[in-house]
Amino acid sequence: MPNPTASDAPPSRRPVLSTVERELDTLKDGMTVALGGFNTASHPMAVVRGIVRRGLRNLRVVGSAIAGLDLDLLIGAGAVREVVTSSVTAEVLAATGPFFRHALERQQINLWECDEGIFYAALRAAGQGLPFAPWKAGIGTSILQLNPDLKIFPCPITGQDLIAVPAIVPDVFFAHVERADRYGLGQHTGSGYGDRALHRASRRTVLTTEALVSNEEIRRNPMMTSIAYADAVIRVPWGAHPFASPGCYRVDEAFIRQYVDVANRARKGDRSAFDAWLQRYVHGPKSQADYLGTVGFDARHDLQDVTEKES
Amino acid sequence: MARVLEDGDRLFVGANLHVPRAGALYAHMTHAPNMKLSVGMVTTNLLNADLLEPTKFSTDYRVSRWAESIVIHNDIFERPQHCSDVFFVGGMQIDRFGNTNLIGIRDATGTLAVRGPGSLGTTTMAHYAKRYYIYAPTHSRSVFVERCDYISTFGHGEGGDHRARLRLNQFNEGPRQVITPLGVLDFETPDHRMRLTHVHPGVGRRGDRQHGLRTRAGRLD
Repeated sequence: MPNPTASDAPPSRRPVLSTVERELDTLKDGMTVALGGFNTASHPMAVVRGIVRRGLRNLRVVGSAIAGLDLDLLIGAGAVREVVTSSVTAEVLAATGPFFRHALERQQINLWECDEGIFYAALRAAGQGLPFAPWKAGIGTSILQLNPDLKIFPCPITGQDLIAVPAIVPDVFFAHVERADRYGLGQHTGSGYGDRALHRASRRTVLTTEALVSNEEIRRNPMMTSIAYADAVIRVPWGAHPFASPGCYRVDEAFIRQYVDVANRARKGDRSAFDAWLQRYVHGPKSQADYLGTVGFDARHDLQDVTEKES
Repeated sequence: MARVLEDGDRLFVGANLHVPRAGALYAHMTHAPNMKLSVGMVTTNLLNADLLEPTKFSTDYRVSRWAESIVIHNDIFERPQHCSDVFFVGGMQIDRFGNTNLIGIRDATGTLAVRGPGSLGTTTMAHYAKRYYIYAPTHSRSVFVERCDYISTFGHGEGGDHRARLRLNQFNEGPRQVITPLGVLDFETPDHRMRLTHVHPGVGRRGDRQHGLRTRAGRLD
């Protein structure tokens, strides 16, 4: 039986295209927000800058298993109540994020202390709708004292002590992919790091994508679809900058060094350079295109060389 | 470090550990042609690679030119034993029973004074690896301490049968060795207290004492 309320028009598929501003409108102070990527790659930076611009507060931010300076920037801007990750780092550019370190040493934020194994156990429990997932590694360590959410319980099968890792359910998960279509099908170039696990754990998934491609292009290689049916897709070229987007551009070392420098100066008491940096790269640009203009074409031209070095 | 790696080992070469990476590649190119390497989220065999230029970032996708498979990061923790037979753990502090600390340093009042890089994957990987080693890039009194301020990777705890009591010996029986620029130490003692077993050529005893080697780690055997 045809639906009496349907029009005479043939049925059409509903696209999930969105904008950064529209997705930021859905965020509220205190929410649990997850950010994809890993270490120095693939963080959804247009959203991160947007969160700072909007002045959101008291967020519980689930970084990647090893988070990058995306989290550090949110901490420096005062948006964060608690972070969930095993580390906030930029590898050789900063072993530990300057604001992350400073905020922990002054007890300004909470850290949900974990290692990568415990981190994924919490996401696995969330994905399966379980109150917790069991884990062994971590017994005997300080992680259990530093994170009161982790409880030791006797295994009902063997009697040994295990850790009950409670589920962490992000309200929304933002990830950056290299390709997505308008129906929410996202494809990573490369591994996609832990983005699948964050997608499974979260109530809602929003993709920013380097390229918006046709559904036909997605179907050319459906094995590559790493995030199927995201709730929203936003086209954001250079959306992971200053971090790498695999196969598209490399880590912008000079830009990150500049950030680490102004963040370290803020950590030591002089916030003026960091405020100027925020004005230039976060509050000033009116759009992604505006941001990319501020970063400059020359820098981006160089970063797009992702070929192997000559042997 | 290359000496402790065997042919056929699976080995995850982590971020920011340049000396273990060099050791792994040296072993691979000499006595371990069947090593199964994970580098920057791909698995690979580099025996026939035309160039071994190390990448600065673990996220450098250019290593994928050698990829035999792609490592999805969360999949590692579905079966961590498949990731690495051998694991190298670093530490801001290492104590006499092989517990290590990447979390931070406390001040005199016991509160966090310096936040470290965090546990990363070391807590879990050291649990599941067949063999794990502690790697100390500097051999000093500030690294080798009586007790770690925090423990991120459990070695032998308070010593003796502490690991067995916590049933942590399912995959390995604790750290095999500590490898430093000055020498090698192990835990093959009745209470698993660290002892010095090897001093690298050219390292003198006076220098060792200066670096806390004798006072902290016991006598030379």
